[in-house]
Amino acid sequence: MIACKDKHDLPVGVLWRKVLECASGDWAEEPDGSYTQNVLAYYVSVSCNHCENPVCVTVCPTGAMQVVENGIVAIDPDRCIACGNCQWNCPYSAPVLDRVKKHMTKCDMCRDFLAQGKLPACVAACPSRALDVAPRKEAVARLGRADVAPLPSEKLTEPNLCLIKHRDSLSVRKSAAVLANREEF
Amino acid sequence: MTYEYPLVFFTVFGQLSAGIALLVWLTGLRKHPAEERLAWLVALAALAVSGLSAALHLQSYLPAAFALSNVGSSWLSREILMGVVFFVLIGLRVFNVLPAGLNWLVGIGGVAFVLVMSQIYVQNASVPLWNSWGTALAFLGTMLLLGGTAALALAPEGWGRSAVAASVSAAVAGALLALSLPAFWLGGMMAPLNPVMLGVFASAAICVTLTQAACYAVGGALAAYGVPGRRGLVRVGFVVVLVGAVVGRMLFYAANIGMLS
Repeated sequence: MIACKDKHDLPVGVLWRKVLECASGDWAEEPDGSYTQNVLAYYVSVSCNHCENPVCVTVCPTGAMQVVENGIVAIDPDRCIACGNCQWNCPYSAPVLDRVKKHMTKCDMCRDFLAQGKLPACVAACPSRALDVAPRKEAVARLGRADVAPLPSEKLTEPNLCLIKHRDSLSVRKSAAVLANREEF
Repeated sequence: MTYEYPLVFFTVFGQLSAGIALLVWLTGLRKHPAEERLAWLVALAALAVSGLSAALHLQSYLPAAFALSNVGSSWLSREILMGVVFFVLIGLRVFNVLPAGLNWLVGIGGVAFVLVMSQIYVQNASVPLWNSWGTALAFLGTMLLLGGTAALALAPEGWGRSAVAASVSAAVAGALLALSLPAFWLGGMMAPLNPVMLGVFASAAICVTLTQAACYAVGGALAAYGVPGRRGLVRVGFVVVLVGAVVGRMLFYAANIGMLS
């Protein structure tokens, strides 16, 4: 998140990458009548997923939201009227209004870095190498599309986001899982 | 919760304008040229307020020239197109370029505008509480309610019994449709949304829907009591109903609870 803000000089309140904390758990009654807890939490780092079926591109009235090279979904700021329709329709709420620039903004996968043969800023900066970027067909074939809580169903937009699942990860259909750090966004 | 005030006024006043256009046609107001002209002027003014409110929602105006470039897939582009078409139709009627015999065309243009407007929300699968045909019914209901009460407020003295009946029927049916929206929200609440957000919204929804219903009941009673000739009372009733529609629409925008809320 910090590398992204630094690279793109994002103002306060504008986050292109978010680290979601998914929490769940309750008290469970054991056969002997005792109670144990099954509380769990894990993190999912997510930004724009440059979806295969990008609903933001479909609903944008001006054509500002476009699919460009390598399947990257990018915004043409000269066409954006900042109506916010892309943000409302994106299941991941990836587009964010920049009130200073007066248009919607979002992750463009550091297109300029990729063109220079560099890694996106978030990938290069992640100290535990939890993030990576790869050709989408190859990644989807290996890991499948992300379908863990608290993310919405991958069927909505076919996100090009692939995850190695956490051992405790819950299915997106489990409504018991909650986004525990929503105040951060 | 956010209320999107510019869009609240855009949708409510747009639906008021469409409702007036529809009721002018359905009640045959053309038999009373002075009142019909006043009705068209009010419809035009309401649509102007609606358009100005929509503009306040935007952050950048110059690229608005591109707003119709995605009519093939974007319901927002289609809404802007229908809004312009409806505005032109009313304008042509105000200046008598369109004959009164084509009032049906303006009325249907208004209904189409509201229907297209509703699809922006009905087709949004990322906001489960909007993503139902209940949204379209509520928008059409608000159009009928505001159109019916506005028609009573603008009606000539001694208006025909059938025209009054048509206006009252539209208002009552519209109020019922507009108030049915929370029932559709129950379906949306089955989606895996943040239970904390849903709890806060549900408690607000109960209070606000009761307030909305109270406004419709009080406004409707004032209008009904005033119909035999107390035009001032009917107009006060219309304003109370309008306040109820605004309050209800604020709740609608507060229902924007996304998948990652």
